[in-house]
Amino acid sequence: MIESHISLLLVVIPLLAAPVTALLPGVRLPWLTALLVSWVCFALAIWQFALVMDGSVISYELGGWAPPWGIEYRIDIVNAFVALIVAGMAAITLPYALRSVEQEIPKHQIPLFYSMFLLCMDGLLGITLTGDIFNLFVFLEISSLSSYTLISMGRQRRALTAAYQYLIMGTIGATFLLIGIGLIYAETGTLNMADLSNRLPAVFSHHTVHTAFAFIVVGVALKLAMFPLHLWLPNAYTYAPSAITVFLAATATKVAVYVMLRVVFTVFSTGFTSDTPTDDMFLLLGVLGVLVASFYAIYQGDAKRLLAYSSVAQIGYILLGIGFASALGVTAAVVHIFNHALMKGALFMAVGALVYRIGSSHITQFSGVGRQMPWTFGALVLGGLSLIGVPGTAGFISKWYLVLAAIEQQAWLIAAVILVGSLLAVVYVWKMVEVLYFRPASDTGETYREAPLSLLVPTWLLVIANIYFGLNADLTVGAATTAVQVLGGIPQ
Amino acid sequence: MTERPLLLEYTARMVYWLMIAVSLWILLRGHNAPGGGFIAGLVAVAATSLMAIVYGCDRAQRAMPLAPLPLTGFGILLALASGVPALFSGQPFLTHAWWNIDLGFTTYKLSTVLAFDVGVYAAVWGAFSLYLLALLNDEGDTA
Repeated sequence: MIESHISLLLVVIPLLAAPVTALLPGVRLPWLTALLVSWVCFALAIWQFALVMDGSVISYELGGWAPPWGIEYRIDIVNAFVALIVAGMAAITLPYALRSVEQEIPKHQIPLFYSMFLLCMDGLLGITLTGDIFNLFVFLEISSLSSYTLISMGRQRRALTAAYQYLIMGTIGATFLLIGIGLIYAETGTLNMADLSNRLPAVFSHHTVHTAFAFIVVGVALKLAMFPLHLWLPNAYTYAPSAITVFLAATATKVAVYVMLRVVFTVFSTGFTSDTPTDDMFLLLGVLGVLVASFYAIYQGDAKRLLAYSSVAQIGYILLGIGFASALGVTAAVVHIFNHALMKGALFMAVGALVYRIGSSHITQFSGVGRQMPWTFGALVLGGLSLIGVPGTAGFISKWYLVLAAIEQQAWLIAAVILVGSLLAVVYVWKMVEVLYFRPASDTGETYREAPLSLLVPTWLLVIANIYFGLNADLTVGAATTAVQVLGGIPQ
Repeated sequence: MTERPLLLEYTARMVYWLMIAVSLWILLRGHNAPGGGFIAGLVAVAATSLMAIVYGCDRAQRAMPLAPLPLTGFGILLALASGVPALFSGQPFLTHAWWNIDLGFTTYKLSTVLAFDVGVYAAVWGAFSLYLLALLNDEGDTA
């Protein structure tokens, strides 16, 4: 029974658990519920991934209404891969969350916190699994609204402004997406994405479809923090509770990238986008994003903000992959979705562990702490190496494919930008390492103990994953290659 | 509130129950006629807001079947749970079962959709009251 409902259970179990979690008393019980749910979802996501690994498709009709009239969950390897990232990151963030949340969030809000966490995870899973573009919008709102709440729970008062900023930007993005969906519905009379990809080519010449495409791309671009629409992201990541920064940085923008891939390649297809300047736009904004955001990252004094700007730069790389619109480029983009989740997860966890002991994420406070907290420091260094793209780490694999894609199209300038971006990453990672390890400890004489195991173990699991997937890229690249075939419309 | 509007207080009590009754009626007729859980929930919220304005938030909350937050949680759970029985009969989630009940003067179409609608009703009543009471209440936390 479970196998035939697997995709549905991934969405329904967290949704059922969320209100239950909100009503549970105490601190540990809500956490335990959320933890169990996330592990069950992770197991289901692995199972689902194994089912579609060979390129087959699972279709699930909600309420027995046949598509394209009813809502269909349509899972191929692309969704299953992204769902695996979301569920996996939730499963690894929650053990980390216990201690860090107990410290950062008032006790009476903790059940609500975990309830919101489950809702956020549910929304992200729903976005990836649904085959209905309006249903996608609904799940996008579920995940966005819960993430606004989660960000606003940050310890500093500025978390409220950050959440408000994200609320405004996110709502504008969602509204754009909704307008776009409305326009293509008016033009084709269907909301099912598979059906849309059949019906849209007949009306490609209509201006309505062009307008709809523009609205959808801008709306999704806001959610994925594409440069220059990224302004909400640094504040949101800086002021959110540490565990939330880890989870959102690793999943929220990745899911938005997935939506972009779906819209550009499956729903509209390259036949449409090659008539529009879409590819050039992605390449241009990707290049700008990589360069400008990396420069910004170098000048940040706050470690979380530094990593947030670096995230914007990394999204630039993914956009470059989409912009190449070639098999290699999109493979690189899909692989980088996975690898960036691993490396940013590890880095934000390491910084979160520093914040747990020091109480601040400001780099000047980190003087000499690296020698007092060697394991946290080690995780930060290895995560940083992966971010730079040193061979042997996951970051190298995605950069390698990206450079190959650039060379294939003889886009030498872009290949150079990718390398320059990596050099800039060396500078900002070094900035943290230098203060942590080579500066003398602050003269207040305060020493910090190593972070507790419940923080270190998840961090190191991600660090080890970074190295494992850097040495053995069969799973990621294999999945990405199949994904490219499944997405459709990409010249091989 | 120093001067108590006696007439309003007296009518509010009656109107409150009348509004709840109307909301239930809208809820029950919702399958095949205009109405349903969402709009019925809004009517119930209007009733709660009347109580809150006339008698204050505490009394308005006591007049509700559950405190706002548990009511919301219960509603969401019930709405989702209404889709679960279908799974055990091998049908997709949210496939609903229907029965016709002969009431003598009319046949009422009972279905698991009703459970979904009642869930929506409770969730809307709870969630909107939560906002409303928090905004009306100067002391803040009503949950």
